[in-house]
Amino acid sequence: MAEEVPAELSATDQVILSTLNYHISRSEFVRVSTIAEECNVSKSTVVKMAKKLGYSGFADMRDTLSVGRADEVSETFLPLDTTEDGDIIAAAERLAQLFWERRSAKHVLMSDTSIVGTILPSYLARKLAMFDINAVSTYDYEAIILKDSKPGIALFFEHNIDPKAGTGIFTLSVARPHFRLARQLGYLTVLVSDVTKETPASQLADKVFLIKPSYDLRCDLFMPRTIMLFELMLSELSRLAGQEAPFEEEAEA
Amino acid sequence: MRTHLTEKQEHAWQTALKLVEEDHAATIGEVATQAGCSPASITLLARRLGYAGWPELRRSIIRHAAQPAMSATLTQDGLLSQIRELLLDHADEAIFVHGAGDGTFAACYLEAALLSHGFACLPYTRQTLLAQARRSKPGILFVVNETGIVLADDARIARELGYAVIALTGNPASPVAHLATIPVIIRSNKSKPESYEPDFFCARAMTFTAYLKAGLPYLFETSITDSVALLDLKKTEDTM
Repeated sequence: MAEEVPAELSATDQVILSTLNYHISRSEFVRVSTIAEECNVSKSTVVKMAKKLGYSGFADMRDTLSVGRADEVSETFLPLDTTEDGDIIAAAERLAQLFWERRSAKHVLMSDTSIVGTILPSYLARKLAMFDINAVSTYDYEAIILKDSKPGIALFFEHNIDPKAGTGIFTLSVARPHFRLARQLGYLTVLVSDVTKETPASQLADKVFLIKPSYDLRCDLFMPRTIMLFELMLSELSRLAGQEAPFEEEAEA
Repeated sequence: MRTHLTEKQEHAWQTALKLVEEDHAATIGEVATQAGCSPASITLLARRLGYAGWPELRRSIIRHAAQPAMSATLTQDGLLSQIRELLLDHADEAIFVHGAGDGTFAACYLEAALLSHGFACLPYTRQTLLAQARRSKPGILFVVNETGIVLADDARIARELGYAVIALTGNPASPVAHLATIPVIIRSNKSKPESYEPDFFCARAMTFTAYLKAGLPYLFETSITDSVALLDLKKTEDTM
């Protein structure tokens, strides 16, 4: 591929790129005819776009962009030793089991104005949707209240926001009214926290997942560590869903 | 250990390496011409090296060329230092952070980290990118995208406008990685829905941010994060 800045891409080119991205991100081998059909353009338009980006043709672009998809995963920038007890797989399995047992219920992932409360609930809600699990990332009381649905999990985050504090005195805690309401409505309250001392939320929560604190590292790894836990949990959910499928087929038969 | 090659084959191999590293789209004809042999000889060379043919050999060269581009020439610490220096060089200019897919969340985290150190992060749109380039010197665009495909045009526009582009991507061969002033290659798995593999791209990109932030000076005396956190803490305590 050429090093210089390539020619401007048209709106159609963007659609073609997005479609190719969809297939590559799913590790699928895709032909030029498939892309052309899905984008409602001719095959030559797809090839022209590839050339515009500096590739010799569509196959060259696809193959180059697919390089490394199945390669060994490097350990660069991976925050290992994620959970406080060191067994992240066991923690992920426990969390997955909680969601799986309540997969038809409504779940709430409590957000707030902090960066933790903005990102983590949205990230998990988006991923759970892949498994048809209805989880709402919200700060609204109305969203917690149940109408026709059963109470599932109410997930809260508690984070020591000052790495220098060490003892968790400077803590972004769970908003108690939300927590109380969730308990009253029958949700299973789950707390993901890196605060090692007991807090009102950790005393009252049904389940607590302790993320290893990172006070001593001069950098805050709560978010990446929590996302690692979520990703492993999602993988376990996928396994549980795979186990379920044959039983459903048997029931239908 | 590599298979023994004749002198001519060794020459063709070195030519192929050089040409493909310079241009990932180098064809078998170009390599053959440059090496002074026939395209069939290149195919034979590829097979002798254990590949099905030229396309597979070329992909292998790209793969091995692309990885060291980051890891062999720049250690993790070296890479972080380089980015910190670039940020400080652009401390008075606008910084944009743009992500797609899982990268959206990592981008949000990176933006918050940079803001907390006093950098002038602005919400990304192409309009603001252009407007800032006209108003003042262009700054930096961080692009966070695992496949490195969908944000290619944004990276291209930024480069044209004179911005430095730092790309956090999972694919060293992607357009975004090629367009970047500094590519940060963060490999991960990508799943199919029927068999979900843990995808640590976002976690890795956030860890990168945490490490970057740890060595980044504050542009002002106090951390903006601390100030915001104190406000949040006060509000939280009020509701308890």
